[in-house]
Amino acid sequence: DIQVPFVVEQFKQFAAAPDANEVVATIQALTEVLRKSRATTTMGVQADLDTASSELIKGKESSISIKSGCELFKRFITRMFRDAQDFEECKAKLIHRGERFKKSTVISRLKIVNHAKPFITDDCTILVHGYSRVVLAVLHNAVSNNKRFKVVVTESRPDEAGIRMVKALDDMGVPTVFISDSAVAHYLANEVDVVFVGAEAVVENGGIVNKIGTYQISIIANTFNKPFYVAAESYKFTRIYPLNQKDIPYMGTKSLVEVNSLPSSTEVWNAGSDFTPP
Amino acid sequence: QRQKRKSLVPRETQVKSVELFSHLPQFDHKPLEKSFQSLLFSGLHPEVVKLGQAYANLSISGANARCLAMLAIFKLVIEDYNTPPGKVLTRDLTNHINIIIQFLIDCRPLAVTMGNAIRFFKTKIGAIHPSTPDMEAKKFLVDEIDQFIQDKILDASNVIADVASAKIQDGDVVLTYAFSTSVLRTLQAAHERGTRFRVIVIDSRPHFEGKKLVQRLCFMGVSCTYAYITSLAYILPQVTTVFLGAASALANGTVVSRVGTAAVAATANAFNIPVVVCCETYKFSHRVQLDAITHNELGDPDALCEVKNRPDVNDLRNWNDLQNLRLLNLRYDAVQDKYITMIATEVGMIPASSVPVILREYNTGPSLL
Repeated sequence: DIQVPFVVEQFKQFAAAPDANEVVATIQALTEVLRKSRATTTMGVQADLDTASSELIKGKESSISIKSGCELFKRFITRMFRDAQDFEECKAKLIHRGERFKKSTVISRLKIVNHAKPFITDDCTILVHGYSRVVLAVLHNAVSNNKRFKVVVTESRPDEAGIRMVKALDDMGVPTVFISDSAVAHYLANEVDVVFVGAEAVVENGGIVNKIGTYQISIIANTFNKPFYVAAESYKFTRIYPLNQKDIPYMGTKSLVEVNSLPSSTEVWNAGSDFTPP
Repeated sequence: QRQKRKSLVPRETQVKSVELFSHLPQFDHKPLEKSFQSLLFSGLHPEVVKLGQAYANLSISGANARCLAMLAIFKLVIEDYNTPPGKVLTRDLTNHINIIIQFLIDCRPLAVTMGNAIRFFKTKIGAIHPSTPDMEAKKFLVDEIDQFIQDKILDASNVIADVASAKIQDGDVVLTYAFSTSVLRTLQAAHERGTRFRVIVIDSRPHFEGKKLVQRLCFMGVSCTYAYITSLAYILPQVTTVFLGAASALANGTVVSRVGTAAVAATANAFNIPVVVCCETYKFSHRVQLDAITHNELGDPDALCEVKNRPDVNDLRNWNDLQNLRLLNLRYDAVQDKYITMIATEVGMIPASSVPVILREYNTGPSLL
């Protein structure tokens, strides 16, 4: 079947674009599959999409975002086909919607930014963790509304997410402070007023999966009674239900240490994400 | 004002009751045995009387088992039923059923599952057009009951088994308490998938329901450990997940289950072990309960004094004569929603806080319940 490697190609293409999100890239790739599909019935189309989805999920080491993108698209398709009469018309509508999905994510981000406005007050100090474009959009909006605030950015090792965040904030003209991950409790106790994070996925019991370290920070914020806000678009909602930290798909990240600085028999645990329960 | 239905089984006067639980119907076994003969002659179907006996002496026990037995009896009653001349089936059959239900309540208070099934059944009776011939009406009712059993109990149990068994990984140590058919089905599904895991069954007096579970699991080839509830804190550090059954799930997320379940859930929570409750949606109830006192069932206090096969253990045999001594045998326990990590239902895995959402859907969706 020629479509099988095609979908992975498409996905890689979309995911390589700047400012790309895995869920959006998945939906774009599946839209292309739908467009190329020669099926003439609902069942045929669903079969094509199912094959494409399993190829995607198999390929990329069970990323949560890809799975949730596939499920979202599938639910969308099922609902549309159930309500529609004419197959061709329905298919055309779906392709059109799929193409517009990327644009609609911009709108969702704007909505989030609007909702988040009242939570940033003048002279507040905000702690952020990891590199999140949604959080950046929120902060950018606050700057445009002439709010005065300071941002404390954690190093978010090991993949330089913190450094990227600082650069982006500096471009916006926001006073930034860079701290190491272990210093979070030290600063949250007195200096910081509120914590903002993004999310890689929002799970079924209302918890989130995000950059490793988020769980720790949430516990500390809770202890000090500081508000902990998560900014996430609704397409990040997934149907997974983790019972504990181990129950999320393992996503490794950039190497934790320099290659030769540890004895070779040392085990290195390097999870990329953790799970923060509601 | 609700008229108090006339009890079919005469109750003797009050035995010693624990004050905190004096609002609950007190356990009183003896009148039932005396009046069985007269009941058989009073026109109650003999199978119904047998069922009542089975409920009272706990030979049929457990939310699913009791509901299934009751529905089987309903089917029998319907098949043997004929509308008397001059009467309408809907009203007469409903009266008939009400008498049976009252009798069953006298034998042992209704379980939530039974209550929900009864409500379903009465709705179906009410939906029958008065002009429908008896044969057709009876067939309709029997089919509806079969459908209910298949969808809400049997199929639901299988879906829950699939859903919940996915949470059991290789190398896991699963802890469970007493005997739950849903949990058994789940462990069976995980075993059939080829997952390597072992089970620890916790049990308690006076009924030792866990022994049944151990028997079934060993028969399937699952490796089991059996422990008494007092050793819970000692055992829990080795456990990865706790799976519990439910008698019902309430609108505020509380799960009602066999007494002792709350202790297991709370202790597991203290050890940071996830607690999964396997519960079919037909067990959901609109009731809200904050503790295990307002609603509960009192069992036989004598069961606490006796130990099977140990006639030498009889220090409490005169408990009734001792002025300051009361015996309390509670049957149910309320597990707070904060101790429950997830409820596995046939509509998916939900947090305990989502129970009212499912209840609301059932109220607005005409095709459900």
